[in-house]
Amino acid sequence: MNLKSDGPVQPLMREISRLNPMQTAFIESALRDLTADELQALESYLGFCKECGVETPYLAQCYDLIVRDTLREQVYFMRHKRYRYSTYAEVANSVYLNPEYMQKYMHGLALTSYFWPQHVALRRRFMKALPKERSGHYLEIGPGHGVYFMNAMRSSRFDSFEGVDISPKSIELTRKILTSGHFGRFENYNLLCQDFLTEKTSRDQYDAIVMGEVLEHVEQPEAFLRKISSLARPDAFIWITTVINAPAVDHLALFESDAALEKIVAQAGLSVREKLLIPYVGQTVANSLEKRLPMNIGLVLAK
Amino acid sequence: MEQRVREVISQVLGVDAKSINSTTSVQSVSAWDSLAHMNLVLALEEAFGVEFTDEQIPTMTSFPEVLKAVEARGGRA
Repeated sequence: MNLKSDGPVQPLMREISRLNPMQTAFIESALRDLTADELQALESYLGFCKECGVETPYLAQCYDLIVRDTLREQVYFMRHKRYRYSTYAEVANSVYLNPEYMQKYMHGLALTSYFWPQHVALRRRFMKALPKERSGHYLEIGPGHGVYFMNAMRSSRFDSFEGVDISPKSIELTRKILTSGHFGRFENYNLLCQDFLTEKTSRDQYDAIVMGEVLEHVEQPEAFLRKISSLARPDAFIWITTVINAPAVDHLALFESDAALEKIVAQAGLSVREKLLIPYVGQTVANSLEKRLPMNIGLVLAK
Repeated sequence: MEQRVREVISQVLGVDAKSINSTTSVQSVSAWDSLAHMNLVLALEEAFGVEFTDEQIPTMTSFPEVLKAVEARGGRA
């Protein structure tokens, strides 16, 4: 897709390239593969950021933060064959409860959903799999920057939407995206800042449960999946995404293969209905597994 | 040490060791992407028996910066 010369994407790319030249070719390639709608969505997100006072140089720093942190953690992972941290307590204050870091992290993460091909692929699959005409109640665990949550609200007809996130900053960002008016008017939603595992959601049963990029951040992934199973109606749509061998500054639960993840899913009483396994860019699944390179995975689960 | 650094960069990035000079950087070598960078850091650590600090890793984006980082860690080929 060609970029508009007067649009907001090119200045952002220039700034990212200035900060981190290793990203230039990678992002150029990713942007070429975006559809016109996806590119428009990226431009719209950048427009929203600008309205909120979040300018291009800051956004470039946000993206660079994620890239640098991830590189550092990847080197650590290759040296030690494990993630640096394993408990929530070790990362809570530096990440989830640190509003400055969390704001940067979330804006950076939102950009990766356009700049990282594996994140683009997961979003496409999610939007395809999400039931568009179904009624009932939608629950999202860890809405983070709020873009998935907002897209789900725009694209489906559930009667209510609930988001649960442990980070106050994530709840604030999700609320901001919904109340800005930039992406439409949203009314039938509820956002809860709490621990999904230990605190109650507002309903006992949901018709759709979505948990994107959360499982790797928790100490007890199986317990999270069990709770999802307990909250899902028998025919609920359940979509989760996570990562295999993909270190990050706050990743705690290491899944060494898709098989290892699927074992935990089964132990939690869920089964895999659909699977999308995305190897590291330019690598095969087998090669990524052998070299312990990061992979992304999206699963449609059934109770 | 400088020659050994050249050899490691050459092996990891697939460039001729003789062509590596003070202008060699992520901007001039197209193969020097994120994965190659990680592999380069690990290969240098093995070759010189050092462990780079978290702060050094993202700064090692040119031949002179790589040399500086190896020297700072007391690298011995």
